[in-house]
Amino acid sequence: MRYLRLLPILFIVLSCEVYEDAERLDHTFYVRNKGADMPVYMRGNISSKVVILIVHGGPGGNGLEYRDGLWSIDLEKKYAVAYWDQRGQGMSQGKYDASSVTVDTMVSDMDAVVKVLKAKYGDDGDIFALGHSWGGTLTAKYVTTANLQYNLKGWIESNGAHDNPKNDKEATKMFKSVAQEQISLGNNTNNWENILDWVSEIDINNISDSQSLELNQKAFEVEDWLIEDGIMQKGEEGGNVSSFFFGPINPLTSYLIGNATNSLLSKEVEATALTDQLYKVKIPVLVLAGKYDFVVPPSLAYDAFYSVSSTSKKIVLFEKSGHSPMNNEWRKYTDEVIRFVEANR
Amino acid sequence: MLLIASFGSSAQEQPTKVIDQRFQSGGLPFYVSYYGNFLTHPGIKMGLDWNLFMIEKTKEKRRRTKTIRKVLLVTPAISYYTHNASHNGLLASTDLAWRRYSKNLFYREISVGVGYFKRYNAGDTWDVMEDGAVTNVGASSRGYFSPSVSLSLGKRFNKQDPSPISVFTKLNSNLLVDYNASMSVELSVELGLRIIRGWGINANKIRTIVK
Repeated sequence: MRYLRLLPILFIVLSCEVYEDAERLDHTFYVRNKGADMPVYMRGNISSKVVILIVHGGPGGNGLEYRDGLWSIDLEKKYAVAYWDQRGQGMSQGKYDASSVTVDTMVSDMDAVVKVLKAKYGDDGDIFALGHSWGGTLTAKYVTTANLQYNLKGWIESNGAHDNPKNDKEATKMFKSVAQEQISLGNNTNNWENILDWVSEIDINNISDSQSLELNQKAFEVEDWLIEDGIMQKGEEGGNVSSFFFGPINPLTSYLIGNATNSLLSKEVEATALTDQLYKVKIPVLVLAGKYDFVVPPSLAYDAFYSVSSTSKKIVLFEKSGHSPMNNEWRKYTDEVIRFVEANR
Repeated sequence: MLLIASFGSSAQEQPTKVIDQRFQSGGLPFYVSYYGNFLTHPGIKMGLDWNLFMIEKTKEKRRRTKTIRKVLLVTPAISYYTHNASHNGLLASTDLAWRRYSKNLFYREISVGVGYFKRYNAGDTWDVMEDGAVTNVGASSRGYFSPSVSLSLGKRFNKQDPSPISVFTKLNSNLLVDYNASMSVELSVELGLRIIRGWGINANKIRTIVK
């Protein structure tokens, strides 16, 4: 019974907040738009007057996932980074109709976040949007909608799926060519032969939803083999890893609502094709791609690069990376982002 | 033989046969617990046990007497927790619980409940209006209807004391209805202390069915 006296002490210990260095930007605010309250986690150096807005992947991911990596350390030393949880993802809350979960609504959400960042940190600050994977689709839609692009100083499209019908075709082709290449090198031969058999049965002009899902799943599986054979670089552990139990994200909530939002958006996202809209983009653009990204093949990166009308644009292919070059080749990735921001701020 | 005592009649009436007076102390049990949303986001929960009736069953087994008690109770409660850098949560709830005490006064319990959950955003909330105007609305929250299912294990102590205490742990699963465009589930764990005192609101005697 005497151990019961420890209960209040346990409660006090667990209730204590960890106070951060007062010099460091480390706080959360929410943006309310069209029925959703979306958290934005601000980290890093606001004295730079530069904010990098991270537009996460999925749909179904969360902003702070992108702090789990060494790249975020250098980025936050240099700039303020806004990790935004999109509508119905991460720790976003709200009440709205399922029919309102559309790419257009999410463009409106992104615009709301940009407006709040300007209201909070001043119109003279420079905002760069970095969209990864699905975030690449969303940011592509944002920069091709009306004049929204001019709210940004630059657009960083990292492994962005701006054209999903094209994406599946290109992924199928890439599976074939890389499988043949790896078999000839004698790497993971059995596995790649199975991939070759499987991908040969896919009709490139008639890819079903289930085949599209399978392409996405296999894309992550083959990255492991390529790392095993030294073709890709293994991501280094570290960075600002959020605690599973004590971090701002509740993994259960994030998983459940992320999946729900993904299923609401999937049909529209699968049909989204923005290649013929990208000519509208005139702001500076940095396109980042992994050579072994089977989720969003590098051919899409080139597609984006050649389609935008920007006079200031650059494409970087990470030779030893897959879908997340910020992990595989984090140092080079961070350097490229910083170089781009410095050139265009 | 089934003896029904006090069931459906005045709460003040004594049951015809009561095996153990420890369950008849007269005070309304209240409890306080550590309330951990997702186990680790700390909070506190306080509530009451409003006993509706008890079934007391005594068996003779190998020359030993074994008494099992089952209690139906209503437990109104209020819970509050803080999720650092994300939100604070406040839940007002009422559970209907079915609790079974073993001979040694260990108990297990299953309950279903309804509640109203309020989620307070961390930091300020910035509202963006249809015309694009941005307003800082300060601290803000949203509320959700929240039905729940819970499982609990506990142990009652102080056998001879007229004001016994019990310790318990409880796993709660709360559904948040109309959360975003669908719903969500919140898990929480409690570690608590239940106290029965002679003071405060008087619960009268527990209506008891003795078997």
